[in-house]
Amino acid sequence: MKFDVCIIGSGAGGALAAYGLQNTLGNIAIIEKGDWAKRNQDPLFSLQHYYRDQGFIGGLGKGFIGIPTGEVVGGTTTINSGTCFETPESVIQEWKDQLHISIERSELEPHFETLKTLLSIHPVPEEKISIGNKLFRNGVEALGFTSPSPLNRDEKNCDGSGRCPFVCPNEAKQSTDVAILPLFLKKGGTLLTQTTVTHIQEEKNKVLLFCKDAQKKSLTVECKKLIISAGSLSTPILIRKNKLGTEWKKAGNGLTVHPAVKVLAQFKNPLYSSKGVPQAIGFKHPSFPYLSFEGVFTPPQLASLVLPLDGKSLDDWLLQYDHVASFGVLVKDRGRGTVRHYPGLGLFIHYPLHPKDFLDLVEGARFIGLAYLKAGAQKVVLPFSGSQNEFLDFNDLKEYDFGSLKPSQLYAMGFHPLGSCGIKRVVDENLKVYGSDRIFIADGSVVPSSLGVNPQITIMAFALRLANYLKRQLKSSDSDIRES
Amino acid sequence: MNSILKKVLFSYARLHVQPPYLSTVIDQSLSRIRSFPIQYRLLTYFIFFITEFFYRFSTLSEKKALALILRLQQASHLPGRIFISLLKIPVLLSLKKEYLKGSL
Repeated sequence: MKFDVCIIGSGAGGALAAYGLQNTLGNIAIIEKGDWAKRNQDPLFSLQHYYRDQGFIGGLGKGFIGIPTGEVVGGTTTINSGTCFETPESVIQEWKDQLHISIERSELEPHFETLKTLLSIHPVPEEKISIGNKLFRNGVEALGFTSPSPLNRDEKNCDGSGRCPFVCPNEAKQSTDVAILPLFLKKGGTLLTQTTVTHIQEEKNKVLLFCKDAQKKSLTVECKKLIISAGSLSTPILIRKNKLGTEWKKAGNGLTVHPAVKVLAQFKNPLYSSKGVPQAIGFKHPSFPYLSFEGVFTPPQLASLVLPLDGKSLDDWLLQYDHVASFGVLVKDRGRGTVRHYPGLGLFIHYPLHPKDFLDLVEGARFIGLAYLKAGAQKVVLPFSGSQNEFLDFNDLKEYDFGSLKPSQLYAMGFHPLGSCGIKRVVDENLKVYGSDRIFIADGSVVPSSLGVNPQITIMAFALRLANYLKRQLKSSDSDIRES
Repeated sequence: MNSILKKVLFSYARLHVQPPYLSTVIDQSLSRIRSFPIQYRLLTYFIFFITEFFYRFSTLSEKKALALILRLQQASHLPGRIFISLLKIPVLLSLKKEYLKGSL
């Protein structure tokens, strides 16, 4: 099989790179390890079939941080919450000042505009905000802070089923398998699903991909240019394993994950928090600039996993789950981790939670608990073990000394792995792998540092920017793509 | 190995589940373990083996079994927490509200 461009991965980076290139190049293939998602499945089914290693992946350091990523057509966009943020201005400035990366916001802005239309990005309407989010908002206002604001999401006709991270049941969320890949296929693109790239070989005039399909049959794909968009956990493994480019030894370093925790609150009356958009509003606390508070809700089938309790306390929360609201907080991390792969053991992620990130998360969790208690919660449970974690009284929680807590006692998740093949370390500013003529990367791994917000729009904008770069290359007279 | 898995699953599940639903929860938990990715499945087998042979988990009373679970869960060192998580996950994922003891 021969293509002008091959793209490994169909998530935020891969699908948008294909979309951006398609009007110029007809002969593009996307190779995706996962299959198309079946709609309207139980969350446990989605976890088992569409999450990499059934969601078991996590970073080990002083604590354990679960890092769920998608392994399905659409990648993590199929199993994310659908929140959309443009790259923060302050982060672009940070790249310029600290990493000497000269990407301007003006370069990304046209892509943000394209994405707004393409993915139908708009703020969550008031009537779709889940009750759990509204109660947090009430609490924040009662504490005297500015009211949290609705988040932008990519959706059309969302009916608030509250199941975004477990595959939107009615294709309302505009993940790439809904909004982009059908267009790509309609225009003649090729999508090879359930196909794993096992080996990559760069030659003078081409790149060879050795793959295994769903039946474990070997398949060789040849292309002129390769874009790797396998995600921050897989792309560095492909780079290292195949020794691609000159800086392959740096691949897998510099990982950030946005460590996050959630707090659950139990109210007297039933709330049915799973109805409505679970991640509908966001809040920035003026005293904690590294923290971003966002709505979140775990479906009842998985609730027992997020409660740091056991025995009767756990049963009580599970029995009262219709009365439960929850909210989360993530930190723009200062810590950096590494991703490696060991034969027989699989993926190994080392992620040491930075002490300041840890302290911020503890205070963030306390703030959510206080907001819910202020809003009338009967009790809250904070994401810690080995310390008091259930609180019934506002002042008890406000005054409680969490000084003896350690990172290992935190129930944390990291939803946005980024930076494991960062710009100026493994790729140049055009996302070309250093030392390679034909291999590019377009996914979260190239994002140079922690963003502090959901990265899907940044990744998509980077992918569209790469597509423009490749199209400009094509126009130049010495382009070998034209020859093909 | 199967009997060890069943013994440990039973000893943990009985802390939460009403007797009529125990066999359902244990069967579901076993099938979940079997569907885990290979490296996590082997780790889970190992943890169940340790739990039974070092702690004699299935011979403990409900009170002592819960105390052990809480002691490991509340440990400030990471291995204890990971250990206990892998022990609990198969059962926790198989729980339904109507199975819980308090729902009587």
